[in-house]
This record gives sequence, C-alpha cells and structure tokens, in this order.
Amino acid sequence: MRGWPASWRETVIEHAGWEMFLMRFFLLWPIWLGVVGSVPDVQPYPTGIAHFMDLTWLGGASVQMGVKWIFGCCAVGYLLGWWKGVASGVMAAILIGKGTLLNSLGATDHTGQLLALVVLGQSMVYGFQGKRGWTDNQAQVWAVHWSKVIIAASYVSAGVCKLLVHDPLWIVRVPYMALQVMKTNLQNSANDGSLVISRLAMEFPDWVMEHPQLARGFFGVGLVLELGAFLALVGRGWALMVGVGLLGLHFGVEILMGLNFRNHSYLLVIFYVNAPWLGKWLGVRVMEVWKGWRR
Amino acid sequence: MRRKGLNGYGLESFYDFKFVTEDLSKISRCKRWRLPKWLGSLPFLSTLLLVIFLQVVGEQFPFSPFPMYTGFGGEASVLYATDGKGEKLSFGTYFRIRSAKLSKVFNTELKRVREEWGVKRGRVSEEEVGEAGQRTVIFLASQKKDGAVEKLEGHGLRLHRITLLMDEKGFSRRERVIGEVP
Repeated sequence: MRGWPASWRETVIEHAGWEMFLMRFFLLWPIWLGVVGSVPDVQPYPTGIAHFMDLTWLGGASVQMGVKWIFGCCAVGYLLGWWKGVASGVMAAILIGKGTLLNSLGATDHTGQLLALVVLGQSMVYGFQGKRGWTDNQAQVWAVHWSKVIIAASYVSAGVCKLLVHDPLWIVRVPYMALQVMKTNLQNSANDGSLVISRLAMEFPDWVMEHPQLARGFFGVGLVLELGAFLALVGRGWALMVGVGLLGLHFGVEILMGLNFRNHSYLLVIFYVNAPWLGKWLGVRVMEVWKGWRR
Repeated sequence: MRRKGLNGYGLESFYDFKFVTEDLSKISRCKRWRLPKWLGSLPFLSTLLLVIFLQVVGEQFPFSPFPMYTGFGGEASVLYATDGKGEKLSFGTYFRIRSAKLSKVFNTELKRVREEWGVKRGRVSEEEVGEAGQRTVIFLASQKKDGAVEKLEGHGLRLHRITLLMDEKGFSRRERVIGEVP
C-alpha cells in the first residue's frame, strides 16, 4: 500500500551541513538563557537527581560564574563539532542541575524540561556515535531527528495528560479555562504589585460564559495540535505545519494569559519551522518566479 | 526536498530494537531477550515509547508528562503579598519567586499539611489553608532579594489568597489573609 496513510511514517530528514550548523548555533541561545538564570540555594522539596544529591552549591555566585565559563568552552566545541558528545553532555548536566534546583522549591515549573531533554537526547546520540559506527554527519542527522522526536513526545504527552490521565471529559470542562485566564492575569499583576488586570482578561471570561461551545472549539484546536504533534516527524512540510500551528497556540496563550513558552517556541522555530531552510526555500521560489517574470 | 527513507541512517537497526536489547542484556547480565517483531513496525514508535516513559516517570526533572492545564475546575486561587500595613508588594521587585510559583509551593504545603494531619479526602478546611499559608509566608520571607531585605525589615509580611469561583451564575471572588510574619 503506497497511499497517503502508508506514507505517514517517521522519516529521518537528511539536513544539509549548514542547516545543522545553524540549528546548533540557534540552540545555544536558549541554553545560554538557561545557564545565566539565577537559581535558589535551597531544595526543600527535591525532585529528580536532587533526591540523591545536594545541588544547593550550584546557587553560589562563584559557581555560577564558573558555570558560565564552562558553558562558553562547551558552546565553542558543540558549534564547531569538536567533542560534541562531551560538550552537549556537560551543557545538559548544567541545565539539568539548575532546572532540578529550580524545581525543588515545591513548585514545578515547565520552562526548562523540554530544552534539557533535547540537549540530553543530543548528548546521548553523540555518545552512541562510536558504538553505532555513525559518521559525523549521520550522528548530526540523528541528533536533530531525536530532538524532533523529543519535542513531539512532549506535546503528545501534554495532550494525553489532558484526556487520558486526568479527565476524558476535559473538553467539557473547557469553559472553566476562563477562570484560569483570570487567575494567570491576576498572578502577573501580583508580580508587579498592581493587582489590575487587562481589559481582554476581564472580557474573555464573560465571552466564554456566553459562548461555551465556541470556547470548546477554540481550546479543542489546541488539544488537536498537541495530540497531532507526532506528524511533524513525517517530513519537512509536516514539521513546518505542526511547528507553525504550535507557535500559534503559544502565541494565543501568551496574549490571553500572559504566559510565554519561550523555550518551547525557540525549539519549534529551530527544529520544526527550521527558519534557515524555510528562508532558503522561499528565496529559491521567489527567484524562480522573478526569473520567469523577467522572461 | 530530499527525504531519507526508513532504511537511511541505520533507522532499521533502531526499529528492530536489536541494539537496545543487546545493550540491556549486557548491563543486566540477563539472558538475551527480544521484543516482538511487530512492535518494530509500529509507526511513530519512538514517540509512543517516549510518551509512555514520560507518563510513567512523572515529574522528575528533566522528565515531565507536561500536565499543563489538566486539572482545573470551578475554583482557582491567586496569592499576593503585602507588608504589615497592607501596602502591596511587587514579587518582581522584592522576591526571588513569582506569584504563580508561590501558588504551587502553597499547594505542595497544603498537600503536606493534609498528609501530616491524616486527612485523606474531603474539602480543604480553613485551618488547613491557614497552616499551609503560614508555612508558605515563612518560605516567602526567605526568598527576599538581597536589596529588599533592609527595605522590608520591620514592616512585616502578609500573604493574601484570592479565591476565584465560577458557576453557571457567573464569577465571584473572596479574599483572606492566610499567613503573616512580623
């Protein structure tokens, strides 16, 4: 069977060397933001590796400075392809250490998990390179592919949580999302000490109360996008569509709730939308049209 | 657009799980075992396995099932801080923690209080909220920014909880102080 359902299979895209170089280059930015972010010096509710070791030393000022220098060395190695396994492994360790400490305060923050998982996944691929006998180029292709798989799995997992783990009738309860919109806007205003929320945040809950079915459709699209994120693994076109869709979802959430999923958005732009490739593809098409028009 | 099929880049060797089972056998020193062949032909198997893994492991950084906006209902709460005189304090200016994260800390404390008091189910009582709030405000006091310690010294710190409610009639809110330190 060679019809379109049969072609819906996971495909490893043979990215060009310059694409993968730019992917590594752009990935360093969110990693850097994770590295320079401040961390607490306590871990009252340990999570992950904090169950087994004390990570509070990471909160020290001198340690933080040292971590930045170590990151700098690893970033050069990772970007230029020298000891990529070690470089990405050390960067993953830094992100996991700092993220674990941040999440050991008794509150789970979902800002850093996906980025840390992607870098960890890449370091594992490079670690397996020798054992599997991959060439340097093949290892890079695999590293990019596994990054896409990890991103897809995180979104599908979020959708599965909503439907299967917590409540199959999630979509029925969607109108209560209005309360979440009010809550997050109030929390944002509490951060600046004003407790005054925007006009949109005041009007949206009323709209949801008046049009619950429309609200279900609105948020239902987001759920479909999450559950269908695995389709990004079919090919470049699918990755682009899924990437743009999920970026739209994050944009909508940011407008409504003031919550930014910065790391998720960076990863989508780098690996799914693949902005450099998209720019080149569009450029070639524009040039073709331009040449045809001139003839 | 160039696409590499399933046979490119050694993907086929991944999908029959040969190297995974071999590596596991070496690590565990157990007799070699193989996963059924049909499993290898499932589409998007890597994603499926990762999703199951994330769901099973749960919230252990960097692993997470990413349960954002799953368990919401007709009630939500927001925390904000004031000094002893009731002057609102900006989390961004004075503390190393934000309101959303402090709410999660409060929820964790509430869960712990209920465990310690042997409460397994039923509605959360005002006493439980008060105890969890007191523990949370003590934690908040430990999270003052370096420059804010002197400014807040001697002014007291109060933690307020706004409870938002939604039912078929509309929205309502109530507010109370849940913790205070001098």
